[in-house]
Amino acid sequence: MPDSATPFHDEFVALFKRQFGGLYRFLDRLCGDPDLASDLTQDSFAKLYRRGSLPDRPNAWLVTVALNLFRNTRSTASRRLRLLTVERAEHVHADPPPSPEEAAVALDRRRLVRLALDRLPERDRQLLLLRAEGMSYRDLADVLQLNEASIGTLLARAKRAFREHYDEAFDPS
Amino acid sequence: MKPSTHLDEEQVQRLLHHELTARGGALVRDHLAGCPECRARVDRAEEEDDEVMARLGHADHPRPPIEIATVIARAAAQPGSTWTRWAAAGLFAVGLAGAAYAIPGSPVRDWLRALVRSAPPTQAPVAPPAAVAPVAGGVAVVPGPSFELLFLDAQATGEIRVTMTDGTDLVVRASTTGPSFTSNPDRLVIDNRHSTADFDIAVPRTAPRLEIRIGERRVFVKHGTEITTAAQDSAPFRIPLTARTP
Repeated sequence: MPDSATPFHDEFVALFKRQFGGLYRFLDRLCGDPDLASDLTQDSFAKLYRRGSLPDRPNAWLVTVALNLFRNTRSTASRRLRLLTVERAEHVHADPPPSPEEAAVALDRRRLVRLALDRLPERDRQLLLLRAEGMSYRDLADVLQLNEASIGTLLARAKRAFREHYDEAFDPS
Repeated sequence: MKPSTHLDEEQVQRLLHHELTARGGALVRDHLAGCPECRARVDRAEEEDDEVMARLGHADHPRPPIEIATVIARAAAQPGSTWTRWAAAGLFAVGLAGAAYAIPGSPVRDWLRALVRSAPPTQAPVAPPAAVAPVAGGVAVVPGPSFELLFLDAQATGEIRVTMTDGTDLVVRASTTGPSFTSNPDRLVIDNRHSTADFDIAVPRTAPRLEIRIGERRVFVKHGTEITTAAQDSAPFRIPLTARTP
């Protein structure tokens, strides 16, 4: 384990403050499960801390690790046991809860987005969500094993498909 | 790029996302200066981009307040850490002791017997009587032609028990106080956030269409006489209110 007095520790703290929110948001949107997203985000940062040094492109490294962890968790039910721990209870209480009406509307909107996202192919979903976090085309190509020269075209298609699926979910008739 | 050649999709996206090279950017800007058609395409693409990003934001849950100390503690607990090595060493020692116990003629058996004899007898704990869940709150509504019953969140514990009735009211009863109910002709919202209650729901057989959801998850659908649910039992249908297992 790195010493808290090393330069790496300070770099890690700065990176954590900068990137935790974005990685959590990406994973939350990807899996639709805030507890799992929180778990995966923490595990990814924990792996980076254990590594003891920052990689050349920390953001791409973190996302790659998080996606690997996500793939592993999809094949095991063990993580569900961590649900509703103290941490979860804390964050539930962290914000004032919305009124039941607001919560219901928010759930409806979230459901539409989830339906649209779930209908996208895996690659398009990840591409869209990572770009939404501002990931560069180079990192997108690297993380998703794509040709960098066609990232823009793939993104345009993913966005178009998302909009179509969203409109279908909004008005199934 | 020839002036007559319109921008392709890759160039439009790269322009929006500031991913053009210096030379590529200059070419694109030159073209746009003389091509209203491509300018309109870029504007449209920008609007679409904004719209998609805004919609994605609707899927977000609040960010959990995770402290960095929590993550560092998690790093210490990951496989390969000092603590894990100690745990592994402990397990190895237990395994070794088991093997020693199993060897014929091993003195470990006698040591263990002596230890067991010297331990004071303990009384088996008496199981508490089974609790009967009290009914602490509820609501009755006449469901509209297409009705939704929405639980706002999954719970740490609790279940929904659905029975079909010949009445005309949809009746929901909670086993504890706390959950609140808000209804309109199409929907009954049960604010069960932080609740651990069980819910008994009586559904009129005559309800044309009724759906029960836990957050975003649909757990019970009645369409005419057809019922779709993941519940194992059917009298009543028992549906866990806890988060689903993936």
